[in-house]
This record gives sequence, structure tokens and C-alpha cells, in this order.
Amino acid sequence: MVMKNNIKVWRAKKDITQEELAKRVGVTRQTINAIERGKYDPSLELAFGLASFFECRIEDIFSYEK
Amino acid sequence: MFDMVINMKAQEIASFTIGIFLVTIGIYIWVYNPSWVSSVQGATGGLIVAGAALILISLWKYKIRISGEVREDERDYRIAEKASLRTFQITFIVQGFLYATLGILNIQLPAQPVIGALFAITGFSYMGFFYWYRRNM
Repeated sequence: MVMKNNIKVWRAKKDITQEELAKRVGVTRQTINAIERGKYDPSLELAFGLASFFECRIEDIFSYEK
Repeated sequence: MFDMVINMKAQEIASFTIGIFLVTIGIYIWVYNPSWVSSVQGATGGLIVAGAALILISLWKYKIRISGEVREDERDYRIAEKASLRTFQITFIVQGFLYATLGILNIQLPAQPVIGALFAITGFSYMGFFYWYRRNM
């Protein structure tokens, strides 16, 4: 099972950089970068924070695939 | 300086004060060589380094908090957890191996160098694992 995400797509829609997104959700740019590259799975709190920022559901950003 | 002290949190003030205290004791031992200290160099080095580290850490935390910049987050804590666990495992194995070897060969070592070596192994192991996990996460 692998967690996948499309934060990069959502960022492009909102036209913001990793640095700006990181500031808005209260983490470092490195964390956003690690999530985008699939190296790090965020906590539920951060996942909800991202969904809230992008005004969508968590499932719209993250998916769990076999 | 006065503004800085007012804006510091209790934890930062405590850390800063203990740091000053340790450095002062270290300098006192270095200058006066009191008879109750068997190893002046060891005591001085340990106290001054520990005190300076506490002072620098408290100032660093204060600076980050005031700037409002996010310098550490959940990913850093996760990395720290993993690095701590690996360090514990390494330290435990090294200590066990050392203890068994010394016991089998009936070697008596002075405590200070052994504690110093374990201290160094713990520190370097943690730093190494921390950076390794940070690169891979």
C-alpha cells in the first residue's frame, strides 16, 4: 500500500510556491517538498490543514493505492 | 538586552540561567583549581561546553520564536524519533558488547574515559542517524 498525493497539482491551481504553502499550513518548505515527492506521509492534522487550505476533501489530495 | 529577557519564555530563561551557572562553575574550577576536583580539565571542559550549549540553544529558540519562522515541524520530530531509537539500539549494543568484553577479559577501565567515549558514541550516532533520515524522508 502506498500513499499518493497530488499536492503539486493543487499548488499549481492556486499558483503558490512550496514556501508559501508551507507558511500557510505552518510547516517547513522541506516538509511540503518531502510530501510531494512521496518521501513523507503527513499527520492527519497536516492533511486536514492542507485540505482546508485548498478547500477540498482529504481524499481529493491523498489516495491510498496498492 | 532587557527587552530580550522580558520576551523570553520561562523555559528559555531557565535554560539560559542554567547555562550561565554551568559556565561560571566551569570558569571557577579552571581559575581556582579547587582541591575537591580531581580532574580540572575534564570538569572545566564538560561544564563550559554544556553551559555554552544551553546558552546558545536558548538564544537560538528565542530568535526563531520571535521571527515567527517555522524551523522545525512534525517531520523533524518524526526524524528525531527514528534517530533516537536507532541511537538507543546502537548505544545499547555497544554498551552490552563493551560490558561483556571487559567482564570476560577481566579488564578494569577508568570510568571517565569510558563515559566520555559512550557520550561521544551517543552524540555522533544521533547526529549521523538524524542527517541520514532527514536525507531519506
